[in-house]
Amino acid sequence: MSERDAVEQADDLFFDALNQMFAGEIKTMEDLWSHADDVIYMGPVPELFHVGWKVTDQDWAAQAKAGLGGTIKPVKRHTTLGNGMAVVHSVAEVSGQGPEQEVTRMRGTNVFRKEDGGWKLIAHHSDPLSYVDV
Amino acid sequence: MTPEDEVRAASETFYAALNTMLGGDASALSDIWSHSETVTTLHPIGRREVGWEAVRDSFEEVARGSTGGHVEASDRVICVIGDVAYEVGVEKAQFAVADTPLTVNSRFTNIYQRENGTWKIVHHHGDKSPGINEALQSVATK
Repeated sequence: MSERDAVEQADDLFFDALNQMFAGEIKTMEDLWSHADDVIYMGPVPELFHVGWKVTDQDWAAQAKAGLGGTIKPVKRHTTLGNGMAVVHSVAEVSGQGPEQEVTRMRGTNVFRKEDGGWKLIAHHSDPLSYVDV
Repeated sequence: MTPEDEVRAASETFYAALNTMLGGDASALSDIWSHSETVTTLHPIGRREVGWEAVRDSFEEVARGSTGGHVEASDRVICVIGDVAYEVGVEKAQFAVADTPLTVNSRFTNIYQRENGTWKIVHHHGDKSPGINEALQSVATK
């Protein structure tokens, strides 16, 4: 498997982990992230800016507990591969959430670092839009 | 100078160029951005651009519409591994498009890649900020 394939497989796993988190389970998400003190989590809530795994993990646990439901799937992806760091930005579609159950789009940037031979998520930034052209 | 210092200097150049853009001239951004077909932006405007031409056009669109203002980055965190670096933080801007005053308070992620020994930006993601796209569209249709 090429390094690009391995990074994109890790990014696929992120979306699997999100869908599991929507259903209340975060083990896949916890396994995907680096547990280092320098990880960054800027999820789709305005001004949310966490530094470090501990507070990031607490946030994922709170989201899982909220019973968000629904599903997310990437509709466009773009990968930048370096030696030891890789970046994937994507546009994803979220459906089945909230009282209106509207389909919304999410712009996201994921940064992965090679740790112990595997690609671990070290930074995530996302913001929601009603629509973004891909 | 450490690689982190080099990336911080590249970031300062980028935000200086953005300030020049808000004064109507986007040309300085050409120096700090990679001109690759694979560079990308997810701007506070709320769109997605791929490739230097589309990215340059998006900056020029803001430069044409802007009648002055100021942008600065704060809360910066920089991480460098080999030839790729990321920077996150918060962008705060106040500017005007036509007569519409706009305020931006966006988290950002910048990705840098070393090209021929020099750090260039290859990706910029800033949270969508309300009103900018609408103001630019109104200028474009006048």
